[in-house]
Amino acid sequence: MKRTLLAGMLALLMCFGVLSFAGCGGDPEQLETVRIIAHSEMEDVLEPFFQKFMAENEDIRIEVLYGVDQLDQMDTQYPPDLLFIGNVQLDSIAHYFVDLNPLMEDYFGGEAEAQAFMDTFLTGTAESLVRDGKQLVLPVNANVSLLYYNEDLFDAEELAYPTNDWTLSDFVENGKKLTKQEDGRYTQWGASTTQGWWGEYLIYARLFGGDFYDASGNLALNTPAFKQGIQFFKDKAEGPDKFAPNPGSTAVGQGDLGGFASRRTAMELGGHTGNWPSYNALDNFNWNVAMIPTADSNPDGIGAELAVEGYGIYTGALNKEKAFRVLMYMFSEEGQYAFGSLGRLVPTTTYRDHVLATPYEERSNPKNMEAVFAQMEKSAVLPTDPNFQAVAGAPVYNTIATFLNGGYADVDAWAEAATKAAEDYLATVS
Amino acid sequence: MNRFSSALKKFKRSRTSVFLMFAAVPIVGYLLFYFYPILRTLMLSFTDKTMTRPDVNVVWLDNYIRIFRNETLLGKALVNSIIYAFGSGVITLVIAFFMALLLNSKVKGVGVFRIILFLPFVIPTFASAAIFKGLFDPNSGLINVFLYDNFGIQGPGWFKSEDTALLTMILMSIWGFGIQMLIFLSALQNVPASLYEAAEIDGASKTRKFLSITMPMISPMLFLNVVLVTINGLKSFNTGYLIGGVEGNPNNSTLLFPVLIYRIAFNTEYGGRRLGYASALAYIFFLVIMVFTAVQFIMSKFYVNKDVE
Repeated sequence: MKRTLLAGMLALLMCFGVLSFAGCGGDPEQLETVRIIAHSEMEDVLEPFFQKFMAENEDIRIEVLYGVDQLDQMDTQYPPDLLFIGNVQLDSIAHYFVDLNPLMEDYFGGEAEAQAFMDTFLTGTAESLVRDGKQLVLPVNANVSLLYYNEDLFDAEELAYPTNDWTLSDFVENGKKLTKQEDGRYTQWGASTTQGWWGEYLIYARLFGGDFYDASGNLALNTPAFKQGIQFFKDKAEGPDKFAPNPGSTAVGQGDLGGFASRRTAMELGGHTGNWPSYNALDNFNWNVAMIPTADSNPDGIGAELAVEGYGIYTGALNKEKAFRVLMYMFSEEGQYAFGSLGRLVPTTTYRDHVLATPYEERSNPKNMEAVFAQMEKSAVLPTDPNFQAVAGAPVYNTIATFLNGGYADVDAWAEAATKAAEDYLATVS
Repeated sequence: MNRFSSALKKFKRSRTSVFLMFAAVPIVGYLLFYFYPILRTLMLSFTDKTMTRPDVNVVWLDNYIRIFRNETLLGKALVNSIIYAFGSGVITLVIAFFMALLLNSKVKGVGVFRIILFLPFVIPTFASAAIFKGLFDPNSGLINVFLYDNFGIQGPGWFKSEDTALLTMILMSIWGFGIQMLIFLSALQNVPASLYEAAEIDGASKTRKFLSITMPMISPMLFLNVVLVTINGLKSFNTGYLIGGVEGNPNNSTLLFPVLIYRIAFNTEYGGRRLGYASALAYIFFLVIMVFTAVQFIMSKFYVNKDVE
């Protein structure tokens, strides 16, 4: 009896052992599968789109991993083949991406043909996803800073809508007219204030000719142009020309009224194209966009930020050739329209021409898509420093918040404090 | 073979085998989910492991040196966590104790009051913090609007002001005093009535009875509660994360140590998930908690009555 029990246990252990090793060999079906990372809200559109591809390509099975953390998935036995990444984050994980150039040359049958495909991407978009001459990612979405405005609030004041030739003076003048108070409490703001990240303050700094880093890659927060931008950001939220909330204000009736989507804020400078679906989900919210105003003293300054995100092939992908075929399918006309229907701004000439061909009045908001594409032409990508996102976020923004609340004597004192905060942070990073 | 089977038979009959049979599951659980992560974190703290780079190098004490030399948030997060743990701990203990005293009295419907007072404990911190955030909003929250509309007073900046943000978090933490109250209540109910009766015969006042009977008799549970609230306060994450986010807004004033560790280890926007560096921070924090717990054990000699079982 005892021997039978021991033999049984031994057999069970062997079974476990065999099963464990069986997993290491790889399931042939899994090797035919291309795994793609995607946001959860994309499911309704992507599923039928990929089903159609699988019906036409029986040798490929597509599995979309919705709403998962791709860094976690990369360590698994069957990692994602197509990774999703933006140009801002790319530098920290660029080594995980395959160079797409040779794959494109094979697929299109030559360098010139591959280049013709690349030329369909709008200026600066695909380029911002190149590292060391390698095209690591192809963009399916772009975000560009714009001036968002609420048409109803402008109509109520009988003010003309913002135009592409606005300067910051027009922005201030209209912002003040659109700011309303009752019994000392603000009931409407001329503009919102973007807090916590660089989404707005960097635009002003760049409009005046500054930038986060200089040409050598050193911090450039202490330059006159950058400081001018930060002073403008402060004056907008605090001071005689105030027409936006000060995030640090603690008095009743002086705070943020819920941002641009609250319909009690007339304008938002910067914004994010990713917010379009949520704005359009609101009933009777009549909003539109114009290009970012220029600084009166520096009309050629480029303030708008261009950020792109898209798909690239993971170096650990089990089947890179099949993954590439799926990637190319995403950039078919049908694929681009599918991403467009998800509220993505696909940065290609194909998608742009498709959007602009729709009559102005038949478009969903924002109707002024001409301004969107024009702004993409007049915009700049963010620095390609892997630490930019971390430094420009809390360390530097916190000093700006302190400045807004009178924590520094003047903008020069702010610049010193901000530079020190950024340097302190960078010292902790290896 | 005979020797092996007799040893096996002996082992099966021994108390150790019975112990192992019952304790095997928790022991395996402990080894897998506590011991292994603790050891793994220690190992990671000597590396430059990040989630965004495939190569891992052993850097020995470099993370620790870097933290003590350059991490400007180390002191801020540590002080915030200690103030939060101390503030919320003291207030929680005082309220829990007085509530337990009230619930220990013989009044009608005391069971209902017990349930009412314990209910907040079962509400998730995330939900209660969201409610408090609305209540304490300095621009539009109920408290400040009431003060302004009725008395013309501009209320404090609560969690939006650097000066009051941590205090607001401490006030919010009182919400979860239920478990401490239950521990006090069970201790109070275990004090033998005969001791009070004897004291009454001797003519002891209420204060004397409280100081000479109640306090010494519940002192082991008081010690347990002190240790629990201190450790809970120090490792508190939810309130800080919900009120100040990973940034510890405003200006790091709500940045608790566990939030700092989380932000460095898991928030891509803050330096690409530096697991090695965050592990070193976690070990430094572990040592801090250990020191505080050791101090409490030493101090317990002065107020815990060892005769109470």
